Formats: sequence, structure tokens, C-alpha cells
Amino acid sequence: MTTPASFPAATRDAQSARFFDALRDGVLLLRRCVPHGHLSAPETLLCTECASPSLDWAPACGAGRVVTWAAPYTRPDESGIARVSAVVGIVELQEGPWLRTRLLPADTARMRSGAAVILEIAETAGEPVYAFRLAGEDGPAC
Amino acid sequence: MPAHDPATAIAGLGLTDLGKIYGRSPAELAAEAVERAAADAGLALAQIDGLLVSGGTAGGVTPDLQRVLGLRDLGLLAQIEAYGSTAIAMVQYASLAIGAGMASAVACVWADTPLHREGPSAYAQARPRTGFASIAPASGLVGATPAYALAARRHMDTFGTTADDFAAVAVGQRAWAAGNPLAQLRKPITIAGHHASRMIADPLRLLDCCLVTNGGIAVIVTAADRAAGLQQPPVYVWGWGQGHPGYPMHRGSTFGLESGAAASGRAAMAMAGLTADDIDVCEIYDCYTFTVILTLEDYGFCKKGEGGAFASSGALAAGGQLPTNTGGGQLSGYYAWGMTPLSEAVIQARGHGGDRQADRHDVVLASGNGGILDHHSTLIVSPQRRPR
Repeated sequence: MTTPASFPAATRDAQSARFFDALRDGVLLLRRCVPHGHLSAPETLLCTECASPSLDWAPACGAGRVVTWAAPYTRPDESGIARVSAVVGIVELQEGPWLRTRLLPADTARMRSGAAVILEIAETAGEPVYAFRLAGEDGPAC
Repeated sequence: MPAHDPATAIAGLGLTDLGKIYGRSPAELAAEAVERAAADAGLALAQIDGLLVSGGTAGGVTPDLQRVLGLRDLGLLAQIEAYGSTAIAMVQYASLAIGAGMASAVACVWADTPLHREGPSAYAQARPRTGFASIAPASGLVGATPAYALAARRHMDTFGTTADDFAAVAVGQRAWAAGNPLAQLRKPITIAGHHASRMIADPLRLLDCCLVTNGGIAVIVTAADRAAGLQQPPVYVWGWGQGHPGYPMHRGSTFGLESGAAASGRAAMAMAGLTADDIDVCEIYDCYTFTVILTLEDYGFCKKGEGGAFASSGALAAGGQLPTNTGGGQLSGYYAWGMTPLSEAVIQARGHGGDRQADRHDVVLASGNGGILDHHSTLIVSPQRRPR
């Protein structure tokens, strides 16, 4: 199914340190604007809905749906075989923000747009990252 | 008629050797492209008084190119960066500067050397990133192809676009490339051959992806009146536009469904006083087959969601209703970012396309696309003066 592939490590900087600390504890943080409580993707600097620069953090519930997905392949090996290196996608969180992310399991036959998914923390050579696993037809609700 | 006609034209086109060109820096290639474009126009380098430069993965094409070329007393000099939409944007800025009296002959140049004699190209390597920007590559989204694959899949799942539709774009453009001596890939391909090519990022296969090319291309933009007295048939600029949707990473984003081509095309056609029905030839930025389908929809050549069927109908091929990417495009010709569609638009408008010349070429549209469908530019040109 999946060949373990060596992707670059996720690495922290000053802006992302708190986010990665929370992720290591299993919590996916979103940005929440102080004036209205709008929720934006974690990398956001100005609120996606009102452009407020006043943002704090709020935990996501971890449920979402696949907007679209793709399966990058490895370069062919000596025998000419190329394999799926990961299944990746855009997940729309129940709260609205989109995340570009890895999807699990890495099985192209099971993946489909619209599928319900649930947060799963994935290790990299550096910081952990968010990933999302297929959650069954009904899907989890928060 | 007013004393000052603000119209501009492309008066010169210069291409270096394109493809596996090693051992030359982007700056050297850029300088050669400008020299060739000036010579093509019949201008001495000393007559260039404006310079707009752009590079690619390797960088190195900077305002310092002025000194490389020995240009004195420029009235306009800048490095422009809007990714794949840059080349056509440069022609727009050159036209604005000429209209404002800042310069009278502006060279617009791009050059890059992503191919290396040994090892993978610059496009196959993950750029170092930190913080939030490191999450996508750490998750398997390395380079542009998986990101375009996400866009393509959304279009397929939403509108029923198929791999056969993508293949129709690739096969049609390869047929056009057969008539282009500059094209890197000229051997015919088939739908089945497309489907048998290796998967790069499902749903995109090798034959859905553009080439990787070293080289440089430049154009010279002058006032329309001046171009008429120069060496080549003038390619008059009739209209232009840009569109940068700024897709939010949030519910409601139209990523994969509509691009900046919609706004950019509307602006360009309004400026030219035309509709899509008036366009004879299209040169569409084709980093991937899917990009052509989405762009043609957004320009209004077919209804939204029907771009795949439009391509599969044969409309884009020689003899079709809308000859498109007549030099083979970036898929089969050469990958010079926005200079690929721009250069072929100039060649077609001049009537210099040889075996691949479109019969009707009075109105030629060229597009640029950058980022992951984030940036778009449009140019409409003609061998005729714009009706006033």
C-alpha cells in the first residue's frame, strides 16, 4: 500500500512554537479572532472573515471532511516500480478552516472527496504534524 | 485622433537555445535573450531605455542585468515577480510605462536554469521551510504537482472531468508541437499512451505535466506607432488583465473550480472590446493539462464545468474551433514560464508559425498562471491596429 517515504521534517519557529507544543499534546489549535470569535487556519495572521489582527488560539474538535485528495508517487525504483508515497488532501474542519494534510490510510481505493475524517497526530523527523484518518460513513461529530 | 496614441506593440522577440542547455547562468541567458529581441526588432541595445527582468527557480536575473548589457540611462528598471503570471504582467507594466512617457522601448526578459547535468531538477527538490510552511511538505505535499493534483481532483469530482479529457489536451498539444521546430517533444502520443504514462501525483500522470527547460526569452515593447517602423510585423496590444483570487484556506473557497482567469479574462476582453467569440487563437499557460481546461472555462470559451468536454471535442486542435497552444505549449514545446504562451502568441500573430500557423490569427489571447492557480494574467494581441 504505502512505501515509507522520507519527507522533510516539520520544524518550529517563534510563530508556530505554541501550535506545535499543543499538537504534541494531541490538540489542534486554530486562530480565533478576539472581536468576533471567527476561526481561521493556524498559519493565519489576519482573521479570514474580518481581517482582525487580534487573534488568540482555540482548539479544533478534530472532525472534518475531505474536500479533495491526491496521491503523489515515488520515483520508479530499479525495477521500474513507483509507489504511492502518501495520500494527501485538503480537509475542511467542522469549524470551517481548511488544512493541507496527510490522509490515512494511504489507500487510494478507499479515499474519496466528501469522506468524514478525524484528527490523528503524525510524527515527522522534527515536529509532529496533523493528519486525518477516514472515520466511516456517519463520521464523528463534535 | 488624439496627438498621443497610448497603444503599444511587441516589436521584438528573442529566444535563446531552450532545453538541456548547461553551463550558462540565468543572467547570461537573459542577456542573450534581450540582445536577440533587440536585433529581431531592428533596434540597437543602446535604444533600449526600459528593462523589466524576471527569473525562476535559480534566481540570478536581477536589475544588475542592466550592467551586464551595458545599458545607460534607463528610464524604467525593475525586477517583477508574480510567478507564472509575470511575463504577461511585464508587457502590461511596459505598456503603462510607455504610455506614461517613462520609456520608449522596454525589454521584458525571463531566464532560468532548473535543469542540472547531474541529479534532479530544481522542481523535484523540496525547498527548505520552517514553521507552518513546513507542515505541507512534511505531510507529503512536496512541489507543485501534488497541489495541482488536488485542484484537478476537485474539478473532476465536482464537474465530471475525466482523465480522457486531460489526455485530449496532452495529445492535441503534442500534435501541434510536431509543427514547431523549437518544441522539445514532437513525437505523436495517444490517449492510451497518456494513460500508460507513469503517475506523478494521482490524478496527474507524466503526460499531464509540463517539461523542465533551461533558457531565456525576451520581448521588446514599444509605442504602436514606433513598432510600425521597425523590422518585424508589429504585434499590437489590444487588451490585458490580471486576476489574483487570494483563495482563503476556509469553507467556500473556489480553489480548483475557478481561477483568476475569470476576472483577468473579463478585464482583458473589455479593454479590447471583444468577447470570447472574437478570439482566433489561444496560448494558455499549461503547467498541467488541467490548467488549460480550467482556464478556458474561466475565459468563457465554454460553460463552467464543461472544459473537459470542450477539450475532448477536438476544439483545441488544428482545424478545431479554437486553436490552442499551437507550439505545443509547456507540455510539449518548452517550459519558459509565462514566456511560453507569450512567445507563441507573438509568432502566431506575426504569421510566422510555419507548419503550425493558425489560419485565422487576427486576435490572439495569451495567458499566464502562477502559484497554485493563485495568480493570473491575460494579454490580447493582434497584427492589426486596434479599431479606435
